[in-house]
Amino acid sequence: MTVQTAMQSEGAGRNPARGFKPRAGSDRLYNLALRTVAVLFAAIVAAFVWSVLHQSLPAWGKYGFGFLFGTNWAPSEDVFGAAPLLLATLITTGVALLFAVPIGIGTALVLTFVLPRKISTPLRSIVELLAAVPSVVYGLWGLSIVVPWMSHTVQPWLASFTDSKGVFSGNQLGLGLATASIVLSIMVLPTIVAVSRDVLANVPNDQIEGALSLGATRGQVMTKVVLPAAKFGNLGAISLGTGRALGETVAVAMVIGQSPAMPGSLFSLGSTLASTIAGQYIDSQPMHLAALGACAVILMVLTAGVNFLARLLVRRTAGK
Amino acid sequence: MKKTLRGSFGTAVAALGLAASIVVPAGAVTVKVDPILLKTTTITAAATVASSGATFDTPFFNAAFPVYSARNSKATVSAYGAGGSGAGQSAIMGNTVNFSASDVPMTATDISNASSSLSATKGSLSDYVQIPVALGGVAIAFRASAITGAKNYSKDGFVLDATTIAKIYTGAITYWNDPAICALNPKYSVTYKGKKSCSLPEKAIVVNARSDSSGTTYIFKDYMHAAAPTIFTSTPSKTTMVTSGNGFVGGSGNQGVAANLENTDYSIGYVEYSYVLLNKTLEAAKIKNASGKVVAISPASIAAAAATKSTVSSTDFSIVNATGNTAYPISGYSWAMVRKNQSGDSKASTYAEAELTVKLLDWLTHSAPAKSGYTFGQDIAAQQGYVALPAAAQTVARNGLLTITYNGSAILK
Repeated sequence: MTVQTAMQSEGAGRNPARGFKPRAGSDRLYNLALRTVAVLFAAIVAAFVWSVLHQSLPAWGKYGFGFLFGTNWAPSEDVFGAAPLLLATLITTGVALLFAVPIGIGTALVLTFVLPRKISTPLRSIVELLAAVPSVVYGLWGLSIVVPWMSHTVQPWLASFTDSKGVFSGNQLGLGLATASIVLSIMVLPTIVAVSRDVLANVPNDQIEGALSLGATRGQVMTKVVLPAAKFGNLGAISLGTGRALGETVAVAMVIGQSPAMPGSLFSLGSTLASTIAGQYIDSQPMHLAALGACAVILMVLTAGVNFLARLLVRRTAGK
Repeated sequence: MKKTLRGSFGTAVAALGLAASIVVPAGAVTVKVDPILLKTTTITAAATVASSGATFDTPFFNAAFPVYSARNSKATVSAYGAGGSGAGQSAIMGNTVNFSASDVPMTATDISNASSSLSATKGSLSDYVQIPVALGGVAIAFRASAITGAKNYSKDGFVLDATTIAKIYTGAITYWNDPAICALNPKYSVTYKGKKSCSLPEKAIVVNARSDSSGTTYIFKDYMHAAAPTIFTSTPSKTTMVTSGNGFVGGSGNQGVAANLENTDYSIGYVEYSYVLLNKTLEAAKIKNASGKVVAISPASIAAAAATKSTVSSTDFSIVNATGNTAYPISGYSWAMVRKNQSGDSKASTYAEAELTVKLLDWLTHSAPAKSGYTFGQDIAAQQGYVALPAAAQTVARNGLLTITYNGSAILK
């Protein structure tokens, strides 16, 4: 939601209440209370970031930036390299978005412009309901339904298209990157649909009507008017989805195989940054803990980066 | 409203507890009852105790604490905080609990590694008493449809030994029909043109292990290291065996490993015994022990292994690789940790609190005398899928508890 709020305040212009100097005592008290809350919040965030950083220091001290490129994550040998975890995180998120973005925005278009209100309203509530399903439920569904289905049906079928070294090679265990990506794509879909639908609904009607009156077909209106107008909002929707996919923990941990192997194909087992932290944190040895802290730092930087990039894009194009 | 609910729940539990524990009807044989145990449910004043630690003990403590509380209106035993062995060790060092549990006894290194913010009170190893509280076994669970579906499976089972297990977990054996496994399972054979050959499936073994830090992993590694030291060379630890190099499938918790095994044909893994009982699709391999006997995992075979070591202590606690005709070789104790001087650095603020801590532990670590009609902690443990501590281990626990003092004098008398 951050991206969207940022956009809205961008358009809203200057807040007239800002910089207003309070005179009455009650106003001053109110002002003081608000400031205290704001400072407190900032302090909590700073303390949180500092403590995570502080915990990860021994790992950065031992490996430096090589931690990002180390290909061996072996707690039993006290060797920690985050590359397999980072790759698994990026691959699962990327593949999930590959499915979720077109389907999500397509669904939002259909919900907003194609279906009659009688059908789209209940469908919309269903989508919103899906966004509220706890991730462990998706994990359970993934483990009990998707994993067997993948190993018996999908993986053998996909494997028939490639040789022994392709994207669809390797053990057909059901568990692994491919399954995690599918579960993730379904998890981020409602987020993308819900946000994108709100954005599309806000595309000014006169623009659409103008295009129609100029003789544009429905398809042309979608591609030439609606989607360009909703570009930034949709970017916001995608970045929200990306954030969710990057940080998703429980559902991924249940279907990815929790094995920090360097991914050889989409059928490889894997372990993402978030799922590794959750799975290995309790009872760890000092260096292991520091390495997990460093993973948390990477994850924070990744999600913050996605958010920042989205804001930057929005700001840059909005300025044009 | 809340109070009433709680009250009625308490009464219900009390009624259950009484029903289970009331002395046998008059006329029955009189049984000599341990005098200390008789007193373990009487506390001088109202007190509350808190505990936390290994998840291994959770089902046991969750079942036992309400029964104990129901015996004594003065005793309040707070719910067990299951945060892992390491969390339990920190909690006892930081005096936030009266006792804690760990799958592996705390060592001097654990104390020196502990966060410096606790250093004011963490003390040294001799400031703590560690006693065995629960006994359990680790099953080598597997799913291999071609083996469990074979006609002779129900009769012969599937046999592994320390060497083959260690080779599977070090990557030296990768197929179910490896000659070493075939040699252990001679009944799985076909005869073709008068020549006998192994009929075990030519399938890759999918190796499963815990992805989190675990006492179960410790016991399993301890077994491989003790029984096949030349193959599994690293010293045992709770740290996960899943690495980037070996490609094992990781599962979080016993339930995670069990779920992965259930979903994957031709997979093998290790889980606590009760998880094999819970998951009908999983089978446990029989293990050829150090005496060359093939033993299936069962409460009796785990107890037989534990019985081979009568002098178990917090520094000499391993009971893996036990010998004997009926001893199952992969099992271990879970341990409780208490401060030795309860009036010094400890969570106890009153004598009654210290008294409750020690008496509760004494009750937890003992079985009721046969035919007495009582229910003590270890009887509840046995109902919950653990194995009751052997008599020798119960004595070890009692002797440890006898050394705990308050203002210089022993609490248990």
